[in-house]
Amino acid sequence: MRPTLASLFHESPVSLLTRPWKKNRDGTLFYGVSKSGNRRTALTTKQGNKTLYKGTRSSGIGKHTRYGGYTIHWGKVRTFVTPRNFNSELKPLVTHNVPELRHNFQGFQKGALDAQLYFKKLQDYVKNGKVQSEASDVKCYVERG
Amino acid sequence: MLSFKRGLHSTLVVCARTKYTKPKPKPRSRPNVRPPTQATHHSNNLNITAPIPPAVANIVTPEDHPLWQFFAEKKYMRKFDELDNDSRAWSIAELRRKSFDDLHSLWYTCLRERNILARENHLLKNDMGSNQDSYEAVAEKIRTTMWRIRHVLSERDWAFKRASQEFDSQKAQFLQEFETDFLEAPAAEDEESFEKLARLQQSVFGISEFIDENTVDRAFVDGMKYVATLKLKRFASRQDEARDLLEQSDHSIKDAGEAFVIFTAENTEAAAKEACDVVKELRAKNSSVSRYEELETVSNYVKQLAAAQMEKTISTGV
Amino acid sequence: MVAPARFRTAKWLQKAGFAPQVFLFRNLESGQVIYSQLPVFAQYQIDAQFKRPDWANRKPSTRRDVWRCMAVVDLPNYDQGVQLYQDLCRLRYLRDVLDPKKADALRKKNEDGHVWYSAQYRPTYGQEAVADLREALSKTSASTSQIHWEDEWRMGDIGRHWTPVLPHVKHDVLPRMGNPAREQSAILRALGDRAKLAFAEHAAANKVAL
Repeated sequence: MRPTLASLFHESPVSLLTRPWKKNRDGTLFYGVSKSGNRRTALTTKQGNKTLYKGTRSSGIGKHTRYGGYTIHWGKVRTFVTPRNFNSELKPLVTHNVPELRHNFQGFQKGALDAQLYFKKLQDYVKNGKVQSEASDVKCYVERG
Repeated sequence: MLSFKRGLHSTLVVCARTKYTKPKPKPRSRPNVRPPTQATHHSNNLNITAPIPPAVANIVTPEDHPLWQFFAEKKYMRKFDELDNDSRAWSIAELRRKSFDDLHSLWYTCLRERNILARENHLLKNDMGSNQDSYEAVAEKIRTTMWRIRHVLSERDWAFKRASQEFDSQKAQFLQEFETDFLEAPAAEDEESFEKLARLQQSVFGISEFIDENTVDRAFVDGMKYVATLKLKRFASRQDEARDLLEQSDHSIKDAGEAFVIFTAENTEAAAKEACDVVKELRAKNSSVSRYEELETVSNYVKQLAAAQMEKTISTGV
Repeated sequence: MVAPARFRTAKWLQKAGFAPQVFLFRNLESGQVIYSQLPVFAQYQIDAQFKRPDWANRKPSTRRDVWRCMAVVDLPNYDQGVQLYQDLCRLRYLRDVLDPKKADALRKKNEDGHVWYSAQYRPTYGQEAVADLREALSKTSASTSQIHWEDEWRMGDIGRHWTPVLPHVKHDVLPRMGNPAREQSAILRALGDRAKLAFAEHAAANKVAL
């Protein structure tokens, strides 16, 4: 890291931080769109070692045959499995009026991954069947988990 | 007499038709003249007209067009205040309480909503030239929900893997605890106790209550023997046959055939008694299933039973 | 294909098993339109219909992937089909050669005074083809005819542009099930078969009437 130039000591800290970059009055950079330059673009075939893979491996669905054909390997074709019983009642976001539920996993050191917790849940299930936990009440916001 | 000289100029003069030239005779009329193959000709009154522009009004979009999934309430773009700005993402703890199906549906709901938001954000940035990012902010919250769904699923998977590793050592104790509970329950609570037993056999041995859903493997046979023993023990305090049978077979059923008979019997005293009688007959005949043929024999039994049940339901249904 | 490589007479078309139809193909890249008597086209049509190529109206290539069927016109008999084709070609000749200034005055221009374009695409050519089709149909003596468009969008506002001039023309949309680009030849063949049947019925009815 280079030291701050002595000739710039009277500048404000903000302009010091953006020192090599001039800004327009509306705050956008005078030149370019980002300070890091355009180093984040994808590699082209002219860059890198000749054995370096520069593609995305995104379309390897099959194999080229001789004479220019192409056979699709159906195991590699991506499929999107949609839910069989679609529950359309669930929304992507939760209202901000409900406090976030928290799990404290009291007595179980490894939290959600604890095997003892799993056995406990299994025992409870065998004993009581499928029962809603106390957190189905909106007011409850801390639960064992 | 014509005198031919070389040269175009003089030839032309010589060939020119003058008033002294004799006209050519008319050609003779031919008898079979083919009519022209092409009779039509383009019209001569054609005008250049103004171009006719295409009309968007002709296109009627169906209500259930799949691309509507990229629009919120079929609007071109929502306004900022129509967005769900206040709501928060699902917390991990809330997602832990959901079933796999619910999480799967929630994932797709999120995906659709993010598609809509991405489209709107693209319009905002490129068509309107704005640099606001309120659509992006909502989309980011939904993205949070989505990674949390994946987190919860992975957590579930790991918890299951770890628990099943440890379960081998814990299984005996677990079953022992259940057995004491099961045997101590009073006779009046028979129904609940047997429901518990059904849940146990489902969760520990993977035996479904519906006989035709099962695949017969080692765990199935072991579970069957365990359940049969427990059943006998349950009725032993009330029934002499069951007690006798238990004592004769050293307090656990070892034979798969006998276990199958008791396992499939109804959970009542009368049925248990019948099952005990059948087992005794079997023993009298000295027919037992060898340990090496257990899986094959039991799967045959299961198939037969399932077929019998099918026939029964069909006949009652008719 | 050899078949479209020259002008075809009505008799030839009937003998070769084609229907009394005229086909319009449009170029996806440039928006230019080719008229053809057969469901295919060849270099002949391009040479005949682009007499004055320039930078804004280049001679298109015969690449089959950039050409799509824009419309198919069914006519009651072969003579009228041929005449419609001749009229369309004549109109193209009028626009390109005889009276380019008048044609150019009707076109939409960009700020530089050129025909409006986006990249290679000039939508005005397709729209002119629709206008020419209307003009040519109104000058033929066809009592009934049917136009199968590639989509509803292309035909324009029927109430404003078509019905006042040609009330008897029926408008229809080509079937679009599956992949119409890939199955274009099959779709056109099916249309041709139907048009041939209709022509045969029409001819039989005329004979009975006579």
